[in-house]
Amino acid sequence: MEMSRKAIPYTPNDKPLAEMTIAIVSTAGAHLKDQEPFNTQGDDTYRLIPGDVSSDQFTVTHGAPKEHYNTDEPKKDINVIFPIDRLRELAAEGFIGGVGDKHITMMGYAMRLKKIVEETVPAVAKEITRSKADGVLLTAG
Amino acid sequence: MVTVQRAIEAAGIPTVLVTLDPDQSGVMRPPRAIHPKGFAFGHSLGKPFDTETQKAVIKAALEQLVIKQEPGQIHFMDFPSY
Repeated sequence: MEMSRKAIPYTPNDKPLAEMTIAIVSTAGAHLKDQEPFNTQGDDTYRLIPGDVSSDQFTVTHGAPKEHYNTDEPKKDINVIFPIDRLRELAAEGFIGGVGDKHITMMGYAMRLKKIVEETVPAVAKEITRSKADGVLLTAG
Repeated sequence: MVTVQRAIEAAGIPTVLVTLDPDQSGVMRPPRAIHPKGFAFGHSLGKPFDTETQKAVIKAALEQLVIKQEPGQIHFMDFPSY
């Protein structure tokens, strides 16, 4: 095992959930219908999803074989991979403090891993640290 | 996925992953993670329009953010309403 994997990053959290603003980061291929679809041959880009988005603005593009990941399911209800409506309900109930002002989506099937690790991943982390989020929920298809 | 999670965590924001592939995710040592047992790929948080299960999975995941724990674990969980 690589040294870098042995040391696991861990940020202690003292805030109660009711005071936390939660953002979504998903690698399950969700994106807005008016955004460029992911390249199913492999894609190292990400899509920035605005906080005021509506769940019916989404579609899903993913390169995985259908028997491994049937995108028809999240196309029916994007909340199964990008739970924007559920997070808003949990915020209204007071379970969380709020929903992030931006979210990130990617396609978790990409060939150019070096570019993803060196460029895409740091860019995504920067987007989140510059957002209002103080906690992140990740989904992966 | 875990690579993205680790980078966000390293930048100072606590994170939790919902994974349907604990073998692959486990190798990468996620800071915090849950695995809903028996869910099909494409149903990360439950089936379409099953708001009850979706919400239960999200709550179980988010609760990990306020439970002090050793990083690198994936908590396997049952969601009978799935």
